[in-house]
Amino acid sequence: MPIIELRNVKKDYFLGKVIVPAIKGVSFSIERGDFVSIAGPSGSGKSTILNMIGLIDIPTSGEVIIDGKNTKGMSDQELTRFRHEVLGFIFQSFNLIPVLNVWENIEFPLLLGKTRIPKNEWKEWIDFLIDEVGLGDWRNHKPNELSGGQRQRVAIARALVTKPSIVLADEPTANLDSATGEQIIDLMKKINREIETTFIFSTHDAKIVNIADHIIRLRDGTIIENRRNGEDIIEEGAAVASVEE
Amino acid sequence: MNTVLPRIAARNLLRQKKRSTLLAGAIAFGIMIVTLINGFAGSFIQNVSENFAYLMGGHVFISGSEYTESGRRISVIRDDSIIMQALSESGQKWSSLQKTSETTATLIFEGKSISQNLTGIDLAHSAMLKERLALVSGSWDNLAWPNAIILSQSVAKKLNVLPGDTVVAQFQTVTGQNNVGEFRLAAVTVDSSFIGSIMTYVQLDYLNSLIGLGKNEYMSLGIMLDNLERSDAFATSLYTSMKGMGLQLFERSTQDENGAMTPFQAMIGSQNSEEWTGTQYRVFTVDDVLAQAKQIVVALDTASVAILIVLFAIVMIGISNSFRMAMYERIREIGTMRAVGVQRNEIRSMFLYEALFLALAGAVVGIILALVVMAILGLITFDPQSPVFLILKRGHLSFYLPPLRALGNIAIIAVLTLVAVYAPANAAAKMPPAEALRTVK
Ligand SMILES: Nc1ncnc2c1ncn2[C@@H]1O[C@H](COP(=O)(O)OP(=O)(O)O)[C@@H](O)[C@H]1O
Ligand SMILES: [Mg+2]
Repeated sequence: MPIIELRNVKKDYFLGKVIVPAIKGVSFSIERGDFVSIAGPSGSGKSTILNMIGLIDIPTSGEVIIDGKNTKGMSDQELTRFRHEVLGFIFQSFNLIPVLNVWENIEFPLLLGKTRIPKNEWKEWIDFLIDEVGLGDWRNHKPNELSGGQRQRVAIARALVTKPSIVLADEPTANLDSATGEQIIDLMKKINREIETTFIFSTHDAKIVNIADHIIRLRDGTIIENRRNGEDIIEEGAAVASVEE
Repeated sequence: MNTVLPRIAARNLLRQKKRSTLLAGAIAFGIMIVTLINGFAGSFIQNVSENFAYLMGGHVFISGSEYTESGRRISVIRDDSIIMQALSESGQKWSSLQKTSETTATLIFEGKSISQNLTGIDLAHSAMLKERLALVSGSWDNLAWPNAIILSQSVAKKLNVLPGDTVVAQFQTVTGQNNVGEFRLAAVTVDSSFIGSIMTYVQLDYLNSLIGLGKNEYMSLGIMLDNLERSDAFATSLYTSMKGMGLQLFERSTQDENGAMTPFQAMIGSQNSEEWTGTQYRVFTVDDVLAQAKQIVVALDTASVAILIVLFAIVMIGISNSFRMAMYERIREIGTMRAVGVQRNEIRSMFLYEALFLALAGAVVGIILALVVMAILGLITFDPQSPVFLILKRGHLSFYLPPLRALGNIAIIAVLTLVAVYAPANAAAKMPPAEALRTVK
């Protein structure tokens, strides 16, 4: 069973009376544990797609099925709880909480409700994550004392702290220089291998795209390429089945 | 409970130091003003009562009323031995007693005249006089004169009398006959003194003989206690004790805390009631007399609440706008928190916590400031003869802040602040996360 499935998803934005069709009916599946790239030029609909997968925006029509659960019709409260349980987020502009230090920023999602990690293991787990992203010496620093790359590392640790099934990263490297950007992607890939979390990141940087197992390329709100492990997936229902065999 | 949101709220407050300081300062200022008013009102009644007690010569009073053969009602205590017995049997302690008779008289000196209320007391043995009055001329020694009279400066000036001069007084006896007496001016008191300016003191024995009361008779007995607060309890137990001895007593209907019934109202009311034979006694306290003063306190407290609300209506607009700004400044943080799993109502709570902390900080600082100002004002020594004497406590302004009132003010501020911040907090909570995250500032 795919961990994510989009069925004929459309998203229109309303600019006054003008309807902007941002996503024009897309369907695709993502397999558990994959390292997925949503590629495409600016304005092609990458953020819109990721927001809908991340349940922070809802489609105008179509269905988003996450971890076998159809999210259509869920209330804001249910969506929020679901996000907390199964999703982790990494943003283009890092989005750390400025009044919390590194350790507290990473801990933050754990404090928001039920988690998989028993409370007595929190400290050890957060310390492990801090070391994993290489910020052992920075745990008591506030975000504004860190470089962009360091901030994004904190964000990665924060996204992982609840042991989510899926981590979404919308252009995580766009605000970083290319060397730092590559390190961040490599770090994500390493963690993806180690803990089998599904990573989905968007980028308009062709160099980074190819690290992914699964590439979904967008243009003007439609999918123009859908390749997994070097194979084109043409008609998603049949294609996914054939990949699994 | 999840403490991370209050923690973030507190830190967010410190993030905008200048803005928070300004808002908390405005709250503190308002609370300070209101607390000062409350503090003043809180001690006002106390001070006025205490000073009035001196003026009237007691905290608790007993007066007697009887009907003459001609049906005229007069005020007199003919035999106080039974009262003294009741006093001692009541088991209460008092510090001094003062026997008083009174009459209205026209004072005449060399063609000039003035109407005055003469208060007859044992001049030579009154500690109150020497303690509370200051002399312009004459001498305390003159109080030994059997027909001594003490006038205030303004009265003495109108009559153009000097110490040693003899003043003629025209008045009626208790039974209604016209009579005259001669008084010798023993001392003139400083006019600005509240007590001094309205009181004219004469010898009790001499006054009694002029108005037709016997040597050991008088109109009312003032009982000075060591503590004003005990007045009511004292009066109640004295009343019970007197009742137990079979004395006729007026109802203590004046105990009504709201001051609905003053002794004067009670007196007027009882005038219509049936006559009695013998002496009927009334027991009342300085508080009963000052029921109206309590209304001043109520007015002050009401005014303080009105000021609190008006002042804060203004402050609240500022607070509301600041929080609206803060919400836009932090919009991406809000989006992030929502994405990570913070619920709508928790975003709202976070802003409300911030507002609450702001209000509490401002209120606590305001109350501390008020206490400091009270302490400083309390250091000023007023001229004991100054016109504000009546509201002073031994020549100093004094304040008493009822703790419940302070807590009430804090609660009002907290509620008003929460109301002011509710709309922006709610707007922040309702913001769809995708929109909040897209916003680039
Ligand atoms: N809130 C919005 N209102 C109107 N149009 C929007 C809004 N958000 C995105 N769009 C439009 O939808 C299209 C896709 O945007 P987006 O998903 O942000 O693309 P990408 O992330 O690939 O740059 C663009 O044409 C963009 O202008
Ligand atoms: Mg985008």
